[in-house]
Amino acid sequence: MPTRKAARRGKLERLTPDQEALLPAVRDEWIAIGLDTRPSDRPAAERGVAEMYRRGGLEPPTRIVWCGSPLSMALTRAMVLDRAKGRDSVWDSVRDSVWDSVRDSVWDSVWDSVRDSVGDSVWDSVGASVGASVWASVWDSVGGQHDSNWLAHFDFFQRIGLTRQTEKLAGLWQLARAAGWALPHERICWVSERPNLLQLEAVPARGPFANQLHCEDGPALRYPDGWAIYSWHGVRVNEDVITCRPSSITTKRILGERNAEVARVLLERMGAERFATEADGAKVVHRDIDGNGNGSRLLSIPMPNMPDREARVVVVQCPSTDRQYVLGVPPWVATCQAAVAWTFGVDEPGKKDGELIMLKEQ
Amino acid sequence: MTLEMYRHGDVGLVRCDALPLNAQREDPPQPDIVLAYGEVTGHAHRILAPHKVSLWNAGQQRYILVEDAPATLTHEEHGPMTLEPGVYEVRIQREYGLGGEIRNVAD
Repeated sequence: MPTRKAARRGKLERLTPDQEALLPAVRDEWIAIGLDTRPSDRPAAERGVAEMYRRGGLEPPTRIVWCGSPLSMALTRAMVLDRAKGRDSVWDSVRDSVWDSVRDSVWDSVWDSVRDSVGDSVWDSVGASVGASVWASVWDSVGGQHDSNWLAHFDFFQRIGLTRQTEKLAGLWQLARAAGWALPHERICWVSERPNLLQLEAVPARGPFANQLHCEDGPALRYPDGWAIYSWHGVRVNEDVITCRPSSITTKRILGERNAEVARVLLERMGAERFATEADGAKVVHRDIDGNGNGSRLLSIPMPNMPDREARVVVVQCPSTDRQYVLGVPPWVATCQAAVAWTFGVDEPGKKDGELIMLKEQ
Repeated sequence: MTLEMYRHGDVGLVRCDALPLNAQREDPPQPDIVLAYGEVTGHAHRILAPHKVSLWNAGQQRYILVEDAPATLTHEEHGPMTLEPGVYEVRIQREYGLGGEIRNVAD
C-alpha cells in the first residue's frame, strides 16, 4: 500500500494554469517584503522568532533584543558573545532540509520554472542590490526580509500544497514579513529594524526586476539608528564621495584614488570633460578612436610635487557599459594604444612601445 | 612585442600556443572559476560550469586551459565572452600611480 500511495502521489510534474498564475503574485509580494521600509511589526516578528526556533528544534529564546540596524545588531552581539554559533548550526540546516524535501517532491522543470519566475526575479530586485550590500557588513546572520528570494521560492511551493515539505520555514517567513535581519543565539535573538530609507534605480539591461542602490545626494539605504550605505549606480562608496560638492573634486583626488570604481564615480561626478579640460595645464598628448569607435585620449597633467613631475592618464570608454575610465600610465607612453597595452603588461624592456591587438572586447 | 588579446573589462586574455612546462594546476576554491573580483561592486569575472576548464599557475602568471568545448566568461556588467578551446594567459589590468607605483586596477 505505501508504495502504491507514493507512486500515485508521485512528484509534481508540471504546474496547472492556476498555479502558473500564482507565480507573479508570489514574486511581487516578496519583492514588496524585501523592499519594505516601514517600521517593524515587533509583536509579529517576535512570534516569528519563537516559531523559527521551534521549527528548528530549539527552545525559543528567553530574550529578544531589538536593534536599529543590522550593523548595530552585529556589533551588539559581538560585544556580548565571541562568534556564537547560530546560523551555521541551525538555520542553514533548516533551509537545507526544506530544500531537499521540496526538491524531492517536484521535477527539475517545475523547480527551475519557479526559480526563474519567482526566486531569480526577487533576487534581482532585492538580494543583488540591497541584500548583498548589507551582507557585506553583516555576515553570519539570518537575512529576514533580505532573504526574500529563497523564502519566496519555497512560499510558492507551500501555497500549491507542499505544506509538509516547507513547514520548517513558517517562523522565517513570519520574521521576514515583519522585520529586518536576525542573529539567533541559544537564549538571545537579536533582531534588526527594517531600513527607513531605500533609493533604488532599475537596471533594465540586467533584467525586468533588476535594481541597484543609487542616490546622488544622500544615502541609498539607511536604518533608523543612522547606519547608512552610500552608493552611486550600484558602486558602494564613502559618504564623502556622494555628499561633497562636484566642484570640490580635484584631478589629484581622482588620480590618487586607489580603487578604479571609486575613481570612476568621482570622475562621473566631476565630469570627464571637465577633468580633461580643467585639469591644471593638462595637455592632450594623443587622441585616438578605438576598435569600438569610442574616442580615447592620452593626457599629461603637470604635477610638480610628484616624482615624475606629471600624471599621464589615458581616458577610455568601456565598450560594455559606456562608462569612462581614467587609468594612470607611465610618463614615457606616447599613444593611447600603447597606454592601454601598458595596462595589460606590455612593457618589454628595450622595446619602446608595445603593440596590442584587441581581438574582441566586452 | 605584439600581443593579441581578448579583453573583458579589466581582465585581458592572451591566447598562447601551450601551457608553460612548469605550470601547476590550481584547485579552485569554488565550483566556478573566478578570474577577478570587484572590491566595491562584488562583481566577478567568472567562468560558468567549468568542467572542461582548468586554472594553472607558472610563477606569477595564471593560465586557463579550455578543453573540448567553448567556455563562457561572464560578468555582471560586461557582456558574456565565448572562449574557444585553447590556452590563455590571464592578465589583470594594472595602473601607474602618481608616486610611480604600479598596482592592479581594483574595480
